[in-house]
Amino acid sequence: MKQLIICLLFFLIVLSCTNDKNEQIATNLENNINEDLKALNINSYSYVIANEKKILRKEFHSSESDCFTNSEEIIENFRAPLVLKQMIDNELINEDTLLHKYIPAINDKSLKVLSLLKVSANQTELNPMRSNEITSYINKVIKSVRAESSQTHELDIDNIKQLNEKDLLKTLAKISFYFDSKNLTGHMSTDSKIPVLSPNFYTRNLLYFAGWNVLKMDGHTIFWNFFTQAHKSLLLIKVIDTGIFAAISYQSKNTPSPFDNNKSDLLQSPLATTILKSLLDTTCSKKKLSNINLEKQLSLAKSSKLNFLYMHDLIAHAKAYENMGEIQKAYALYRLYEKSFPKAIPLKFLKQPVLAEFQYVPDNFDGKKFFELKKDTKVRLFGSGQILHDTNFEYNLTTYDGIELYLDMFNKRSKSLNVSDNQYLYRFNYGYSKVSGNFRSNNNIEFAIADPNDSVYLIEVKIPWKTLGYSKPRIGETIGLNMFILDKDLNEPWRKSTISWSTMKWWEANNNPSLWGNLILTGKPTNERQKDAYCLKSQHAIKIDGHIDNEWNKIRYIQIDSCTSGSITSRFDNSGSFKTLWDNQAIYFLFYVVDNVKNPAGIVTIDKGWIENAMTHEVAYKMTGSTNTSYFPTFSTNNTFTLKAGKYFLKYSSDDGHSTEKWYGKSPQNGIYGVALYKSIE
Amino acid sequence: MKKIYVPVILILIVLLIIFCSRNKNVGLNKSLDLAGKNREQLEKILDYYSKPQDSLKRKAAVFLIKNMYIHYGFYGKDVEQYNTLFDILDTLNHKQAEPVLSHAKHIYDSITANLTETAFVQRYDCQLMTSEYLINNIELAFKAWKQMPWSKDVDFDTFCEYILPYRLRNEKLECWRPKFYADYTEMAMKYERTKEISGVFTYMKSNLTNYFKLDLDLEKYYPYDQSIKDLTKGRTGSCPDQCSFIITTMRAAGLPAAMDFIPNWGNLSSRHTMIHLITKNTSSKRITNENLPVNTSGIIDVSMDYNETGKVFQPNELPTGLYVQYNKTEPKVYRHTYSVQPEMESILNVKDKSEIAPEFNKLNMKDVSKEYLSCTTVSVKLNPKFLIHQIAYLCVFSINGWVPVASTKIGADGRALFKDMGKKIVYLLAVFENKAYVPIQKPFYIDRLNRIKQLAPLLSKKQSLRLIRKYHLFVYTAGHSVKLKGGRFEGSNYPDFSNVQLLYEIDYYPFYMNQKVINSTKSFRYLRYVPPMGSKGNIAEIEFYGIKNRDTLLLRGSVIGEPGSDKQHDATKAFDANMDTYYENIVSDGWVGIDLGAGNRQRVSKIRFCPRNDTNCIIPGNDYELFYWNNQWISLGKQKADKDFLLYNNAPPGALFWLKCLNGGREERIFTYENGKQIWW
Repeated sequence: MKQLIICLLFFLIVLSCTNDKNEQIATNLENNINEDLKALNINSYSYVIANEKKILRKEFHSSESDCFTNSEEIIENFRAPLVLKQMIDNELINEDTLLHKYIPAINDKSLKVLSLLKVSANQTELNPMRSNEITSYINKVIKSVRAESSQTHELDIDNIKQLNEKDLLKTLAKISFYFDSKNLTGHMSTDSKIPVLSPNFYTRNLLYFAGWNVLKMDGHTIFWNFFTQAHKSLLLIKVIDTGIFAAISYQSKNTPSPFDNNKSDLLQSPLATTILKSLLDTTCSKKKLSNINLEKQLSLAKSSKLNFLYMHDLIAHAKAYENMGEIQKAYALYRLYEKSFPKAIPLKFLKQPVLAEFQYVPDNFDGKKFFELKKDTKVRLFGSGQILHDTNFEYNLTTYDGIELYLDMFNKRSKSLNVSDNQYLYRFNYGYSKVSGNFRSNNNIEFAIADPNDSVYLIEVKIPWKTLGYSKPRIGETIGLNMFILDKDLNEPWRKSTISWSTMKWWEANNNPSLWGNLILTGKPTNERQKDAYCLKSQHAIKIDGHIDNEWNKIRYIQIDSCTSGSITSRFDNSGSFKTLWDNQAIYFLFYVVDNVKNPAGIVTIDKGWIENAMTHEVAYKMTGSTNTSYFPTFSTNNTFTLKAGKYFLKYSSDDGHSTEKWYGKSPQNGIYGVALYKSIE
Repeated sequence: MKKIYVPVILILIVLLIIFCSRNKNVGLNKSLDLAGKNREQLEKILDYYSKPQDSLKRKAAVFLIKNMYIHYGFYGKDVEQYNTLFDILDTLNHKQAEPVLSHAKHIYDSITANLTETAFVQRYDCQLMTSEYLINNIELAFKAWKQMPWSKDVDFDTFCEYILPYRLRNEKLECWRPKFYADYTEMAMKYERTKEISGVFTYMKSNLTNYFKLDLDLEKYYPYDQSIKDLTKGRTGSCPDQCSFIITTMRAAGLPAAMDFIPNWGNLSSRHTMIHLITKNTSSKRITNENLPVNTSGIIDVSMDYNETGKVFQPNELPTGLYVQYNKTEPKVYRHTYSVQPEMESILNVKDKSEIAPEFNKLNMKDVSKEYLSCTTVSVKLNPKFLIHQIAYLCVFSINGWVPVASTKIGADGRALFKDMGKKIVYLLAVFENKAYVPIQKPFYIDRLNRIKQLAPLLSKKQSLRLIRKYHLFVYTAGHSVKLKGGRFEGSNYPDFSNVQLLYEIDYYPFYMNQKVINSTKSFRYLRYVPPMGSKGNIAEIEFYGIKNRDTLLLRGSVIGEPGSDKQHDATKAFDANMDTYYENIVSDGWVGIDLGAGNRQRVSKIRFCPRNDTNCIIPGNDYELFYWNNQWISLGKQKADKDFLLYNNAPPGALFWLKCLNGGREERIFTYENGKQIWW
């Protein structure tokens, strides 16, 4: 008997400890929500806080008659995916069936039924911001199958039209219980003795999961959604690994919504940031937010894994106060934002609509978003990503962007390149300060690289005759000449293409002077002929600084345009031209290279953002950065450039590791890991 | 009479069915019993798959659980403390494009220096397993199997053994499949002909071999099997680590891949692990272990370095007594399985467990030698005094001692029968006693005609041995000599070698240190070696000699030439008096030489040069000791080499020999001596 009592007591202690954990979270969360509602001057509200099995806290401060007229729509948003999932499990419908079989209007013929439950980031047809549309597709599929099977579902709920807030929130909690009981995500419990390599695997590359928008942050998967009707709003958050579900309905015209500014960003909502701080930040989860010194908290947050959350929390609350007319309070927060996060995206951009963005990119992400510009537009791009240092790049310089210049000084035209015959290769790579290649000497060679714009680089070169083993150059002399432009684009670290001045295959011609063209030293400007280029004697010394001296303007560019390896989509992808001059001391070259993606030597962008022309699929812009910062391996971009009128995709891809899901080094200080494109407002 | 028989037969049939089903459940019961308090989790899995539509998944669950009792991993503080090591590798791998091999040893040293030996525990899977974990594993394994375009090539049994298992070695249990499923189904689908299972296999193997780099140092620091998380973080490790990583990725992507291994090569002191695709279309090609210039790497990777375009050396192109070894020989090949193998169960089911050698104390090891080798059966009659033993082993030579490669139960007839053994390998029969292998017969080899040839020293007679090496000359090493034929030694008085004079052009295949007398009358300041066209240099040593007061003088100067391909192979390596290092140029016609200095011109009287090599020749100045085998290694004396060969006049004919270099090096091999030649085994 005694033993039985001890066992019972032990059991009760264990049970109370488990409950205590949930209770503490719920109490703290409730306190913080109440404080925030008060601060935001929201008086009419209701909320429920629940775990996987029961409602832990509830509060209904709105009238009984207060209801969402679109309650059916809201409930369907969460219910319909669960019904569809059950039908898939019961083999009434195959998840791999192409969606257009049920919905012929679907344009993307590759979408499957499963795509309705899991909307991936790399498709553009199903937009989670139009979740009603996804729900209606789901219902179409369900109905067409049900017509044959007449099966019912335990979530078939009657009378869901115009539910009052209390019943609506309770029904949503019930659906959440069902969602958890069926472990729809396949989430593996963190209490298990067996660790999970990728705890958030179930939302890999997803923007939407069974009615929920997906946000990943610091190892957590956060499901959320938001509905509005007139001034009534409903915010739902479900943090899968903590098991907490929170739903708040409130009446306010001043509180920013996650869907403001053409965005889908939960952190625009001040109530959401308060909930997330309470649930994710261990320092906040134990005490009231009002008891925390905000400035101190922010100075800690700067280097914390949740710095994004704090950054956006400030902005969200500042905007709310601004909307409420509490300008002083708002500006105090804006100033604090600028002081605490000086490198963050400027406020003026945060307040305007975004053209397209991926703001909190997790691991293994591959996303694209469509946008259109009706006219040529100056745009501003903010972004961050992960960059790698290629420690071996000096041995792989032919794979990086740059110029290879081949000279056969005595025009021996032998079949193999031989330095002892004064046949040389000089390689100048974009972003690399040394000359490489195959030569006897690089003494006194000068070169400069300049970037006149985002898709062009210039390389200006001076090679003394002495270095080339040439004593007295004379008019009429002929030098064997060839050159290649090496181009690497998105598929790093591989080279995409090479182009040559004369028509030949890179691997045949690079070591074979007998196939090269001629460079003839002249005293007056002469137009080039096939395989013959003319090098004009300069009247003045050329300054090698990347700026085009007047002497260069006296001669025309000679095109380098024969694709010799790989493929080129247009002149914008990879093209170039060169000019050449000489004087008694040296020979000079000026290379003008058009390259849509300029990749500096030694750098591999592993998490990358770029803009692609939706019609031609050509890259219009790619983010790049430097490894030489204190934030390495993070790089950040803040660029203004002009995009031509047209249709585009904003794209972003990330690898495994270092992202908002988990940082390997310092997180970016601009509040974005991904890419955001705005119209420039300078 | 008939009426009596019918019920008897019926009863017998019922009893037989009961017996069979009991036997079938033996493994299941063993696992459930071993699970103890965790039994509920295993039963929950079986319940989960109780619906009729889940019958195949239930079968799969039963397969995993019934063989689970033999599987375990190592856990505890001692294992956990190495997490920092993998975390650092992981962080570095997220900062640089290339794996961190160049820093790795330094990292291992600094991390492990502070670690202290603490407790570790061996925990059985049955006791740790959760229903959630195994169900997730089964679901995703089925998804990969059924959804991938090559699924028709994989039957259920193959699926169970080579796709379904959640573990491969004795690593910590981790839930790796969701991540790997997502990562590697995507990679597999990038191959253009996804219906061709072998094409997808080759594509993935080649991509992943580049991604996961071999580093043999790590296993010296980390004494456990790397877990999948460790492998993912570090992306480096030994051959079994690399195979484990690649096989796990393949299984996650629905490719039935197995880890096969050679416990020890027949003529090399190391083992080999490899990845094998289980397909219906098996190749008929087999390795014979004959020393022929035939590429066998399609059967067993790295089994030879020769390729069809490589040089085949004729006897007159090689120094006397030297021959080229084209391949590694294989005594046995085994496969790691998930399920218990009846053959191993039968061998290990002996009364005296102390006879079980640790290398063979595995129930999930399957002999697959026949799939790779042209094999033979070895039957050996044991001396009656050894019949007290129950298990016999066949061992092959390794520099660390004889290594077992096969085991068998000694038969009632006093014979040990070893099936499927590779030929042309020297074996030693042994038993395992007091934790050591005890030889119980003279070593022997099996010739081409399957005859056993014993290697018994004739102690009453003596013979003279002229020894030129301590190790085979593998074709890979011999190939370096090819790259020197046509190379030129030149002299000039100009730094750009204008007005150059040829001193000597190499017109044969040089092995080890070579010497040429030069009859040039001119003196030069600049001296160089120019490799033949297309060669990358591969020269280990160059020595130019001049004459001063009638004495030969080694000429010294500052090193000049084209840069080396990297720091380890720069131009100084050709002049560092170290045959182990060599110069390899970065450009195709790179050269290397010396500048004797301003005002210093010398007439070259002699040139000594040495190609890149394995330094396994007899090196003057080094100390050697020769042994022969007579139930143990017996010394025939030590010698300091003063030439490039050693002479031993007191060796017993017919013996097996081992020449040790006392100054260091691990490449040594046993040999017999036939017709004045060292024959390597």
